[in-house]
Amino acid sequence: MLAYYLQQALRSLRRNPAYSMLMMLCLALGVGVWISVHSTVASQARDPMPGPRNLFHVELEHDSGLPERMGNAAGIWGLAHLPDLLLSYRQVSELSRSQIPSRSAGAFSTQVAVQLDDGRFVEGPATFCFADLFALFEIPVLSGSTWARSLDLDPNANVAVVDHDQARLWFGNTDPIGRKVRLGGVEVTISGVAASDPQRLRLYHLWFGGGYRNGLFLPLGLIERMRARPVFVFGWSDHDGASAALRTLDDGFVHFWVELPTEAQRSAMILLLDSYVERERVSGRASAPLRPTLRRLDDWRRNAHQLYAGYRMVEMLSLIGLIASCLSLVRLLMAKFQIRAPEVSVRRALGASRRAVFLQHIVEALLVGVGGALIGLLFASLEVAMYNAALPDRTVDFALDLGQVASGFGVTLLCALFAGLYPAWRICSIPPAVYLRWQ
Amino acid sequence: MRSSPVSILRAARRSRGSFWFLVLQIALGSAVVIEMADLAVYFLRSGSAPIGIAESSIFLISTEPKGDPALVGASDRSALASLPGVRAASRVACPPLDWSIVPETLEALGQPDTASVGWTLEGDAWFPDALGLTLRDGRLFTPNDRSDASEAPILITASLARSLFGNEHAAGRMVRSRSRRASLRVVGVVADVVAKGAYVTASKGTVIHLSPGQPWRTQEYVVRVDDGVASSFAPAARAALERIDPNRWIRVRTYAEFKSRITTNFSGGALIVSLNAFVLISVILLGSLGIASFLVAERTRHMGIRRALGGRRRDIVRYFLIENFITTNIGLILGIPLTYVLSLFLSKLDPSLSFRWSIVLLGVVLFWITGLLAAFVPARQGAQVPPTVASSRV
Repeated sequence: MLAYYLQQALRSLRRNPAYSMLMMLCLALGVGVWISVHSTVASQARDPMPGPRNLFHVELEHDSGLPERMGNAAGIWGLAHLPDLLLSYRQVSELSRSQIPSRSAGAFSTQVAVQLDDGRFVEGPATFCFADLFALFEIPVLSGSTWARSLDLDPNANVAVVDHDQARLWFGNTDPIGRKVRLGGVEVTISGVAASDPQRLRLYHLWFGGGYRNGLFLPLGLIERMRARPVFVFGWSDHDGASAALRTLDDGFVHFWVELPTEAQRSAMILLLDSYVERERVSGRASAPLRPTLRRLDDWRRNAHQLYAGYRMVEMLSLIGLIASCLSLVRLLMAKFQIRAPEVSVRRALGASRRAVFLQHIVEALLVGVGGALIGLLFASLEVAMYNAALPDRTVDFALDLGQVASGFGVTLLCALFAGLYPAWRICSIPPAVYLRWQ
Repeated sequence: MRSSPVSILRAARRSRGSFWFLVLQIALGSAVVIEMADLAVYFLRSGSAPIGIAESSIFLISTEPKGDPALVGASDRSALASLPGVRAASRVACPPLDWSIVPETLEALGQPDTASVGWTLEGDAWFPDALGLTLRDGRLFTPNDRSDASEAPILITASLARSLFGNEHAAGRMVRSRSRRASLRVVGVVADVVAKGAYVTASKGTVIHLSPGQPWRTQEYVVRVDDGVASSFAPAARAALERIDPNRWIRVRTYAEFKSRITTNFSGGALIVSLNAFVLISVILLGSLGIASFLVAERTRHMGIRRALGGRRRDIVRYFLIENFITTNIGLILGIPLTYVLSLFLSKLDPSLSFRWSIVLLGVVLFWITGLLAAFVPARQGAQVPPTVASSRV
């Protein structure tokens, strides 16, 4: 029976192809806008490290007066808490000596100018960090290796790990391992290639909007020799400029992460930090914090990486737009079914049941939905490509994954089904005599 | 043969569901399109808002010297300052719109209730002049000012001065940076300049710190030039820097270029919501045009009666146009409260996105045009049906 309905529906759609295309287009455009916007939200909201983790961001709280005046909006939270989130190079050097955490990593990111081995200068993002950052944030090293832990704070370390996608941009298809690049007059040799996953690669620091990929990973200690300027520096100390040694500066620019799998480790770390804060206060430094905080990774992500509310707003608007498109389809189907009322009346008079008429029209609406879904997904993929081009400072590449394609298809069919219910019910409810008298 | 709007409305409502579906569609569609238009205007305004400096004649130069950054930086600045057409050249740590701009809390000394957010710019003594800032009160930095003095000198913008001191003179007053735990002396008040971007809280509240140098290798310079030399300055600046420390990375761009790079997501956002608003209007227009065939077919009998009773073609056209206009307006009237509710959500994004009648009016006009366009085609088609054909089905 379904095959018969399908055949009838196809015949009906073919009878007026322009009108059928119009119906599909109305649904497709509404669906396309919603799927494309939804995919940008879903791409950004994806948690690259879901589930409970034993990873903590070490923060030293100050009474900066900023959080209460600036609020917690996306992007603003990080700026308002900057004095608490960023530790000085000195503080990270001192705290990282502790044996309490199973693993720890200092890290900060910035933009650097890199001179490739062919003499070209290219700009790219770089992360100065500890080797354990790769393990803590589960960043796979695809080939080669990272550096030894002993080089983490060594100013003379001359190794780097390159991001896979960035390596393709810089070196084409050739193997980057063993290649030499120069940063600020310092030559480093690439020892490994890390997997590209922008969501994960931005998780460990405040994203600054200057790009969404990582380029190079370098030992944190190299900053002493290289002196690349971090993006965010919270300046506490009055220093006279370039002669100041980073080891003595109080300026905060480094994130510090610790892995504390057991309750005992967490308690011990809190005690250590309490005593550290006390020592800082006694020293009389301007940057002396009030109290320490261990912030869990998921709490960090919720605050520091919250989605810009504008995306949610546009998603909500596009959902209402999708409902308006469905209403458009309802009217178009009503018009189409109404025109066929005399024909339906003849069928009813010849014995077709209401149910059969209803199902036949529902199948036709669903067929419109299938066409609408295909066109809509094509339109959505074009829109997503346009979003990528229009928003160069996005946090991730927007893309329609298989799940979104499947859910988009399902939502379109549901829309078509709901849009078809009233027109189908209406056409099967008309008494045959109303139209038969005109035949 | 003329019909009153009331009788037309009564007749339209007799079409049962179709009328209310159209009304609902217009109500939802208009609310969405109006809010998307509001968002597009907001993004455009946020991205293109002036920041208070002459963006096309001020250059931002970044470089990474191979030699000693302190020595090369000082030489670079002197070389840039001596180029023809240069008004002022400065070494900067935090130039306007840089990602690195951070906030701090300032309060008039001893008055914690005046605490205000200031966005921090940092540069040498020539920095205010290189930005072309207009002095409102007090003085700019001088070479004798020292950043490590017990009362380090700062400049603040007029907006920040008002937040801290009301209408009183700010020059010479002391402030406390709660964030940096330092006492600072306001040596001058300058005209408003936006440090971080127009989209942040207290965007015109800017504090300028004196910073003779930074411990970083990356050196940045802000240079203001005469309008006449702006087009030829970039290669001249590059050559001057190359002479001091050759074969290094150098980037020269005007502030207009820098700003357009920084705010590119705003123009992209405006493009995206405008496109989507256009698509949704198209859906409504397409849907209404599609109904044309239905109206003509379903109302043939109706038109036949009107034509037989002496109705002219233009009466038929008028009938359809009025019917659509009434339906559109009912939809719009229902759409406005929905627009208001949506704007309450949007205003959480930014208070400037609150309900505005100007944007509503724009949406209303847009929907009137769309509605009339959509009605005109069926109206014309319906009017073309000869009375004999139309009345044959009566």
